[in-house]
Amino acid sequence: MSTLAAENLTVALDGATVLHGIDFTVSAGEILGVIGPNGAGKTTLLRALARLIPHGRGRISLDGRLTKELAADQHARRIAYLGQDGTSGWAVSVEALAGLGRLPHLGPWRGPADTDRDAVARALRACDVSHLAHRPVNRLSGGERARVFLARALAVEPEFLLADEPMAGLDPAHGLQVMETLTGLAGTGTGIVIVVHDLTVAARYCQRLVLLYQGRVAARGPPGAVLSPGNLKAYYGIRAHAGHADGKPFIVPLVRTDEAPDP
Amino acid sequence: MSARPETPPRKDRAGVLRTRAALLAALALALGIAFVLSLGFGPADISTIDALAALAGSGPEPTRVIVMELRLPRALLGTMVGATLGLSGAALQGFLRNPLAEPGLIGVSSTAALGAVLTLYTGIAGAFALALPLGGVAGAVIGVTLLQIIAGRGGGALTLILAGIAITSMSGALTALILNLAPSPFAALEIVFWLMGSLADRSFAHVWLALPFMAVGWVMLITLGRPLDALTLGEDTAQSLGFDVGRARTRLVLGTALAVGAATAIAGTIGFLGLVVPHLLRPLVAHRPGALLAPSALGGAVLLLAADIAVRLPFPGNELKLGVLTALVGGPFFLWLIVAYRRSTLA
Repeated sequence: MSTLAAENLTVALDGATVLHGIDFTVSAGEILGVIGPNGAGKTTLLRALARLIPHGRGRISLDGRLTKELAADQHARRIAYLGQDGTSGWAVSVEALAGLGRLPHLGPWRGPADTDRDAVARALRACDVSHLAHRPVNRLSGGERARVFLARALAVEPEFLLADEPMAGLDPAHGLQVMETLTGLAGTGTGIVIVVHDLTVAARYCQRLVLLYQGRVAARGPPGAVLSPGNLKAYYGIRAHAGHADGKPFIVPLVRTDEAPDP
Repeated sequence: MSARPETPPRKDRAGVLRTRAALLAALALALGIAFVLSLGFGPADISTIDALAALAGSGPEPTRVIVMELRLPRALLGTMVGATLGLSGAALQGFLRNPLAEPGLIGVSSTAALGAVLTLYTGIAGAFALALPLGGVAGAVIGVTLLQIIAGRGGGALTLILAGIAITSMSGALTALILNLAPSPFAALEIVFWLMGSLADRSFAHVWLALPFMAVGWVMLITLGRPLDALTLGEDTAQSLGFDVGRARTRLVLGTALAVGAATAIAGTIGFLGLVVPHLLRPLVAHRPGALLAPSALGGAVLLLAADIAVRLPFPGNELKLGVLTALVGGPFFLWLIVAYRRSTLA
């Protein structure tokens, strides 16, 4: 079973160390949630994992091999990245945009093959945007666009997907739809690392959580343990109402606690 | 068409390929026609038919000389310069994800113009035949070196644009200084006329001088298709798809500098073509930046040849300069483009 692991990972941006000694492992078929207050280093962690920024000390490995030693196209085929700003530079069709996810699979001077077209069709279906295939992406609603960009990442058919707040800006129904798609994807064996802000989503859809605070792992483990009242108070500075409805967990922030959160 | 049933996606793909092949074929045909027509225009009264005959080696000696030594190099240079401007415009727009970008943007055309103007001012231009275009190429090389120093590796699109503006205004100021210091009004006029851009009175020596630079530049630019497609999604995603954005950027800058620098050195500054051509062709390639490169090269060549034919039509007063014509037509188009772009992004 493949695993993506960070060990003692340190990342500096413009000379300032933003992440200190991060450790975690995510396995095939698992959804790992990265949570934490604004500025904790969640996006930086994801970008370092995706090899978009270099890291300092420590190592990132895929099945025991350092990812920085993988060839660019190999890395791109195995680890997909879905960033936060889902904008397209040009008014290409939905199908063409999702097809960009196949670029790492194309040989030099070769166009897309049947396998590539099938992968794109599957990705569009999985994200429920097949009916939009020939629409230009600039004519989509926000919810449709987010699903199309997710389809682009799925079209890579990676072993691991790194997604930075894939449901930011979506209405509740579309947000749930995206999370259900990701759950389905994990069911087919893809490992997923997802940055989440919504604590209910984190509690409900992630098997394990990593809570970042000021660039360090403050807590890790199953959602029930990580999202304890003590942690929410210490690291988010809030008191929340947690419970279950229809057998599903929810966490609703109630008030800010007056005392400043201490590290 | 085939009677066998096809699955919709495959049919669609075949359709896209057919459309693209048809577009390239149509543009190639238009280029051929424009090229042949271009041979039939000039001060000497030689028709297109006579010119073709002269190309084939028949016809009277003076006609053959005029066609082979004046009109053929002019048509070739028109094709080369037009293709360069169209191709680099498409590549720059794709890289910057901005339909308002054009080859002049990175400042290399201005430094090439400055280099050429310097040879006119110092009189070196009169010393030997290729001094002027060589000065232009030297200016382009200095320009791109400056650009790499200012906006070196790792800088984003914004740094590139800002560096281009800085270089353009600096070389513009130096060009103005040279005009200011010109020893006589006649010398100043010579420089101003050269700056307006023209393909008149060029020879095969110019073709052979420009071709190596342009060919290397074209290869660097036309192979950028996939990185440009990936950049549709932004720099981060392009990188996550396995493309080295920094390397693509270096190739874009060097390719543009070589090709546009050589074009400017030969023909002076010809504006707007690199802006307009990709914009006109973009809807015909379904807005894909990679697929736009080759059609833009062909389209640029067609449009420049057409413009170069237009300036040779009988016109009261002086012959209209090529750069003046493209600016006259391109300026209003640019304005319309900005208005349309604003409307579409604000909507």
